[in-house]
Amino acid sequence: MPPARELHTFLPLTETTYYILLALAEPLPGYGVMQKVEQISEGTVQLGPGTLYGAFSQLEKEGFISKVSEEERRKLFVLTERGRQLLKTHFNRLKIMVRSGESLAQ
Amino acid sequence: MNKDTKTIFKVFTAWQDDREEVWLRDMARQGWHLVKPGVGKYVFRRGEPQDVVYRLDYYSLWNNDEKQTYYDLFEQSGWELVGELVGWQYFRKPARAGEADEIYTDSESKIKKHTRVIILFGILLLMMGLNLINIGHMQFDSEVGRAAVTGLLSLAAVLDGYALLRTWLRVRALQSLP
Repeated sequence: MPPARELHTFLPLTETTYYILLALAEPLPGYGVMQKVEQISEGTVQLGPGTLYGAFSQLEKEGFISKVSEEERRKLFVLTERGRQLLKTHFNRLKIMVRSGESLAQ
Repeated sequence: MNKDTKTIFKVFTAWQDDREEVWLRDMARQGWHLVKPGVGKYVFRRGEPQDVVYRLDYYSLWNNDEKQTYYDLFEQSGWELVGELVGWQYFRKPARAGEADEIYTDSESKIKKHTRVIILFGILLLMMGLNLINIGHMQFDSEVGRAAVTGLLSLAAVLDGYALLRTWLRVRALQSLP
């Protein structure tokens, strides 16, 4: 199996990806992610089902999220360790971005 | 003549999906709701005028497990599947103020949809190209026959190439948006 792509090649994350990964810190079904993202982004990010489906496929393929259970029609997804790493790395970048723009906020 | 249904013949190309969505919404506002999409043909049934948003998605390759997950996600977020047509999925949802009415909420995923269309056109073009090359090796009853087949296949290839170009231009336009 070829080595997984280095994390830094996925950065920076889009808002969509960032919020999906953040939402999946705990296991959730697809629709649950949609609701949670709207909530934690304070309404600034809404995910359409087309976008969500595409993101899930890609994130699962790259090993950032994985399926937890497949009972009937309720598939749960959750962040993997690799996904957690990616998220933390991006979050640190965001912190630097916010700090650098502090002067604007005044 | 049944006044409760109506059939309209109209052609929208793959790169005019946004116009098709607008037209279907207009029809709904006039009380005509899509029963079944067809190639160049739309069947509507009469109902209450309602502001309904239509969105078209495109997926050509599936494994059955994924298809159910896909449909479930749409259904759970309030989108009704009207029908499927050569890979094009027709969804609709009543328009409500403050509610997202897009199935693709960022340009990156929207672009991916059109990229899937481009890939299909590309594969078809490749197949036509290979066939055109093969014609030279094939037996024909007459040279007129050979010329006719070559002509038709070339025409199809040109049209496909044009479709590919127009869809690519649509991707370009989407890429220039924030």
